[in-house]
Amino acid sequence: MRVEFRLYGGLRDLLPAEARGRGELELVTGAAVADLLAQLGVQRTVVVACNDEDVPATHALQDGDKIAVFSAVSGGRI
Amino acid sequence: MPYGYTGKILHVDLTSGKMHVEQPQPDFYRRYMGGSAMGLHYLLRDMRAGTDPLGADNVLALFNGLLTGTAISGQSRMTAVAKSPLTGCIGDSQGGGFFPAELKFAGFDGIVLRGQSPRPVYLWIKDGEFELRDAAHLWGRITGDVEDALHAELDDNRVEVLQIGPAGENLVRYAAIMSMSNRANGRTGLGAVMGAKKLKAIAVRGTHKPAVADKASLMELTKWGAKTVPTSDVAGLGKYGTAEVVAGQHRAGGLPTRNFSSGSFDDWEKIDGTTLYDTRLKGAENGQQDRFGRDTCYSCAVRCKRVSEVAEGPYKTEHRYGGPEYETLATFGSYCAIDDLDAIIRANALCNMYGMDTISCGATIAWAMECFEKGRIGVEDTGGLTIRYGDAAMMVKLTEMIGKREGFGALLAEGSARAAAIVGRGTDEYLITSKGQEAPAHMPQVKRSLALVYAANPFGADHQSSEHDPSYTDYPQRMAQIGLDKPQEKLALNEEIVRYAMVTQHLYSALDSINVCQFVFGPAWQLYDTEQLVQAANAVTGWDITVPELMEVGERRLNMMRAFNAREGIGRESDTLPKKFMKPLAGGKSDGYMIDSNQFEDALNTYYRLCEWDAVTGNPTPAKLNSLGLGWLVVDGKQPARVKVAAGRSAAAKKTGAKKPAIKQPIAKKVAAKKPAAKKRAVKKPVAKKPIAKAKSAAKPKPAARKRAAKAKAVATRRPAAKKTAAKSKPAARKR
Repeated sequence: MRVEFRLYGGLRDLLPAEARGRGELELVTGAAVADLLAQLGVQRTVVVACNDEDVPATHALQDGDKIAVFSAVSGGRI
Repeated sequence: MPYGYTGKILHVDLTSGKMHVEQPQPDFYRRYMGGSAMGLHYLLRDMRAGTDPLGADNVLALFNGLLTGTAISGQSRMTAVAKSPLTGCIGDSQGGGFFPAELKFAGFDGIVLRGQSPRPVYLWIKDGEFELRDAAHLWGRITGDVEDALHAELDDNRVEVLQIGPAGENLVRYAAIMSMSNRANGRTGLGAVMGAKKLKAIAVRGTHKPAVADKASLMELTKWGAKTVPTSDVAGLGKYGTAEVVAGQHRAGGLPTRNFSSGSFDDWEKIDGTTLYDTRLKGAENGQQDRFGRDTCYSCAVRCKRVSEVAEGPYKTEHRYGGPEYETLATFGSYCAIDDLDAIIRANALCNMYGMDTISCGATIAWAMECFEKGRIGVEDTGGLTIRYGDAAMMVKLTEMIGKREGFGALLAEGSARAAAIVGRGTDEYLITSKGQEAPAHMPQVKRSLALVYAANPFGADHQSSEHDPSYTDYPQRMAQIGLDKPQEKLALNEEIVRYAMVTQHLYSALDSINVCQFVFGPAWQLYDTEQLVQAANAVTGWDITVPELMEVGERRLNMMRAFNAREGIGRESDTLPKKFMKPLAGGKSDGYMIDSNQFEDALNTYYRLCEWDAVTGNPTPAKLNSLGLGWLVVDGKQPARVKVAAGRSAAAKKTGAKKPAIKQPIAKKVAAKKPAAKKRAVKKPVAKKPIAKAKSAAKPKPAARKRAAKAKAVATRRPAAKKTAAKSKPAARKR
């Protein structure tokens, strides 16, 4: 399955500069938010939204999901 | 004298020009540790209730801290305390840069300023010697010019300059105390106190590094911090500045928009920290922002300060005036519905040139915009100006008018609460103030513990007096270090959240006493946690303090502040929120959010109970003061006396024509304040060669201190690595 994601603030530096924090990723079926974060190399405390809803790291992803990741220090939690 | 300190406090009477050095006992240092706690000792001891904030009897105390001047990140901080001309309460403000460390190198833990000079002066301190000098040639000049003039006059570009700009001279009630022309002790208007004292600047130069008890342990912590920054939770704040948080605040519905009418700003991306980094930091044109566009404080590895510039256009701005923090992007941006980043950079620079708090300045303009939009203020009030949301040019124009106290700017220079009292017509409906201080850009409607802290904080609405709500959930291990282990649901304002607010308030109060940066040391996301702060403090001093002792230092400071206010007759009745916070927000994720007044009152009652304060008055009880070693504040077994404040006007206020405090007794008639008479005399005069007053340090350095001094002198050209990096990135004007 494929998900879209955007890394906000300083997290964008985990990607090449030209990506400006945006990208898509192919994940195995049943992958969770934690798997996405691990693939992106996110080590900081973060807030994750899936399709504009806050979700925990255990949240199972679906094909076509849109993920937003904020560093916890910047807020982002709704 | 404990390790880490100089053991000396400089006392200056600006009326007589007399100065002396005090050498307190070691227990004084351990009780207060530094910062505002130490300054409050002198305010409470030496000031009478009812003192005019802009009069000669106000005491302005400047103190650095326990770690200041060592090599660890986040230590170069200085607190200013005095009675606030903005709020009438205790005034308190922290600032960073290089001045705090330099003051310690010059031989002082703090400076206590009393009196009022008959003419403009500056204080020159160099390695334990000090003198007052004529400053007539500096009066009326903006910060950058003054810094250059003093570097030339003192023939040393390494001199650090703490100063007021024209706004402080003009007694703008939210004037800041500035250093480096871009760092501010911004809040509560203490620049106006310095202006009323006719003290234009303090220039310092020193070469004596503080002695450290356990150098190896401190170095280990220092290296750990420097190594950890890139992978820590403050990495983004370092690279993108506090402006990094714009996106998250918007998403959470917590980005104050249109004077706190909404928490969502559709054009947030135009003012975001990444946009600032990509387009307006110095060096952005060739990807050299990290080298030229980031600045630092003395020996700090985080390097969060912005160096921005606008090369051309109506908002052309040179880089020496720094760059906007998150708060500034919000107050001049989303508060005013302005998405023009260049205009915000210009307004920020104007505040740094004139020396003004960007939060109160931007928020006061936003208040005026809403009043105008709602028809409560008209062109007949503004001198013909049309003041509407989204008008960037008008926002910049008003910022400069405030700094100069020109036209409608003179009214806004009084702060929004006084301005509303002067104008009347229900304009107080649009205030976002607590105790007369404008709210910063974190919304109590979204982070409920801030409702309590904004209201109960002794110096008015403040976002850096406690940890914000989400951290309780996000950083459980660190929170457990200070006994917080029951995170609550979002939007809760129950007893546990009240306890969270109080406990983290005590810790933040300790941070402002030890005097360290709250982005580097703290209970949650910061680089160092609470236990590491204790380790660092013990390494420097050789003490054996614990986390509970640290917390008590913070609690002591908070109680001292409440005791100061109690003497002024300010207690529970002033622990309020603006009416606007009780009305629903519109749009975005926080649509409909508001503070429930009954829930808020319940929380306030719980807070007083947990603080062991009198529930009726909101004042510290004698038992509480005694338990904190503050029994000397208890008079005849009673809590601090509530004194009816005399309503006399200060000599300075009489000169400006500014109205006396009008928060409690609204002034019906609109009056525009004029510039002080001294401003009219602000012409360049020849540099005074002779000091007005001069004195030498009362005590000669002890042999051991001399040995350290000699060693420090030998390595005077070697500064910590972070400083070297910073020197490269400094604006050329600093010539470092």
